[in-house]
Amino acid sequence: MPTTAGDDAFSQKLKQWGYAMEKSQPLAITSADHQLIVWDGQLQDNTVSSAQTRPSVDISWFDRVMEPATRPLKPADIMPVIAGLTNMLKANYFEEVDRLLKSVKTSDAAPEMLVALLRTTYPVRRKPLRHWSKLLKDVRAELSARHLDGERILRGLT
Amino acid sequence: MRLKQWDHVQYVKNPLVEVVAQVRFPRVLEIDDQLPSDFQRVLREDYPLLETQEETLSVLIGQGQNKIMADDLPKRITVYHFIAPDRAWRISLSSEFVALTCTKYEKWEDFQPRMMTGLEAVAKLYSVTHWTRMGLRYRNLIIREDIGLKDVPWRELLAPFLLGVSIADSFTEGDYIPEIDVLAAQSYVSVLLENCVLGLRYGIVRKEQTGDQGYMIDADFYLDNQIARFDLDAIKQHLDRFHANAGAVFRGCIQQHLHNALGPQPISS
Repeated sequence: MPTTAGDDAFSQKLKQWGYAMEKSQPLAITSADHQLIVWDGQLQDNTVSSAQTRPSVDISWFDRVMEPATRPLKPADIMPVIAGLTNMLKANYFEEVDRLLKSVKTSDAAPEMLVALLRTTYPVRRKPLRHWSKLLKDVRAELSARHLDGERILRGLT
Repeated sequence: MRLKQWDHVQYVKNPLVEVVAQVRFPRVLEIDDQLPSDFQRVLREDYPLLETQEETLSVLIGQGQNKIMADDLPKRITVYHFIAPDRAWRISLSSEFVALTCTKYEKWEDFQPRMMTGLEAVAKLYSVTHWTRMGLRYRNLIIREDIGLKDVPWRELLAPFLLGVSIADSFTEGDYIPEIDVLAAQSYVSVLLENCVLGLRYGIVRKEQTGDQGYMIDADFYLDNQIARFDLDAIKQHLDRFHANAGAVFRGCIQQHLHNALGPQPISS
């Protein structure tokens, strides 16, 4: 958490500048990337994982998704989840991601986590993420049950 | 670790675009429940303008052109920004922090009393008893065109450790890595100093509209994970110590060539 006054910048000059980002490089997975991926948990159903024939994948971050929130979440709480999911998507682990989406218990998770899951996987929801639409439906129902404005929170996802 | 000391200077072509100090404290529900009109009354003479901001949980997904801002999440707390007429100074209050931001920083002797005014108001009006995090952040933006160094490469202006792999000339068949081939460079390092932590973020920045290139040196001095008494004298001493490190960090990040181009003027310490 950097020192701020609640926003990115007050300086008009500073607002015009941003760290340079590499533009639209393909998300190709190299052998070096594979060496960085470590199996650190188990998927939550009994399906035999394709990790038998492919490099294993770290899903330790998924525990955070299911932790009941005892306080308002901060970006730092969510970033590991987004990073973990993004790594899996970059490595084409769509089946595994789909199983994770299936195993989400919406009644336990913090709304920020649920939204992060949906938004991170949104660009590839038409890949074989068979459970994405159901998760969206379940999250909308759960937000409603918690008296939150699901239409606004989930804007752009439908 | 103690930092190497340099002569205290003030730059004529000051690269500091923003300085912000913030003291965080356990949430004060009173500030959430009631408009901070008493706080405004104390500050109104110097900070008559008011802007409010809903502090939201914003998440950037992806990067580059594909990045998505997930910013339509549930609203959190309101931040009240009390702003000076010239918009160079701003005191911000929320239920979790008070902060001072300056966009035309000249000297600590101007900045510190303004921060103390905000802290005194919080202490008096809301009986804040403890603080949890304190930080003082200096954001330097170096634009070569603005200081007559348009054609001078970064490697002649910045300390080599900032440039890292982007000047790893042994990688290339040529004599050196062309600057134009460095697409992006950004790093963050946190270092434990004698009295605080330094979070140093630095790298190449670009102007969104034009793609012009600059270099950011963003030094954040802080103490966090604290439950310390909200003692104004002690807080002042902490901020003074943070400030004492700032010049040394910036000077250590640049080479003599850039130092000279910025127009250093000696100041008494």
